[in-house]
Amino acid sequence: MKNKLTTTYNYFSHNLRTCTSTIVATLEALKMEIIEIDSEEMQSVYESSYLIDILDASFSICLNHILEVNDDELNYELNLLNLLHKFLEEQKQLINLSELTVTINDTELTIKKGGFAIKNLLQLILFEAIKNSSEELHINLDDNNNKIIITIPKPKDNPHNIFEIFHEIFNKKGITFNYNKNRYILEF
Amino acid sequence: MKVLLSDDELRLRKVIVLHLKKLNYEVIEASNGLQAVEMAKNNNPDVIVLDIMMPEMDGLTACREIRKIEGFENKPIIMLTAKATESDIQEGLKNGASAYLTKPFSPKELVDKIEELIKK
Repeated sequence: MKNKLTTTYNYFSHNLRTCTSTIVATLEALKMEIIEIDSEEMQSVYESSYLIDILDASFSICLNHILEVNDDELNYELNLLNLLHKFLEEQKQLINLSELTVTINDTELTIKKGGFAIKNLLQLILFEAIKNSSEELHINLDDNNNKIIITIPKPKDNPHNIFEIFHEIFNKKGITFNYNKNRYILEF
Repeated sequence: MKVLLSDDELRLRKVIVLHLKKLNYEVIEASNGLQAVEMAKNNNPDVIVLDIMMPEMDGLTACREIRKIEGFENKPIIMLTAKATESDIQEGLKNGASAYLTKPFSPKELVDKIEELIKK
């Protein structure tokens, strides 16, 4: 349990502190008139704030899983195609700065169970995929097999070891999450 | 004055670059430790700012490698990182960092630290 807690703390602490730094540095640039309120750099404040919300919710999901706290599950219908499009839109500056081409096939895929955890963890998986990709990233939704396949043709590194904990959480909900350096696959 | 800034978080790096350029620093950028070591060798920066958690080569390893380059034994290296525990700070200093700034930080803190280390 100690290792899982350490992995979880390290992952979320790193990302929460990095997002906060981006917000502080951008607002300080605004205050010092290095940038203006309508500068494109201000987008990073919104993008980092959006991530902080997901990170906070996912931190709680991971801790509850490790500490075996039974949360009342929020079951609601979740359109995964809309969710993925929303995340890509919310992180467009990161995608632009990464000089990344992201493709997504417009296939509707809707789930009815485990919406809260899936909503948050899936967005973090995509965040990791964006950070870990060079040049291109492909997202494929398969409504015949209820799958999402994220393909990273040129990965910068191995997937973060927080994925092991995500795998366990999904597994508890009857969802398969498999991953390697080039592919992250969720099967509902 | 040339600063080598190495951080894989692009949004943060971009805004730090704006701050440093405003103060007339020349900035060269790296997005992982391996790139930082190469850029240190090829561009001879006056100050190096390294994030710890980066892909391909982490900042601690990069710091050790940069210290091995001739002429870099005593150059200012600032670790800029989200790892904030006491043992993390000690680890950074043990690996050859001159100073340690934990995220979240203000760019002013970074500039003050750069200037303090240059004066030394």
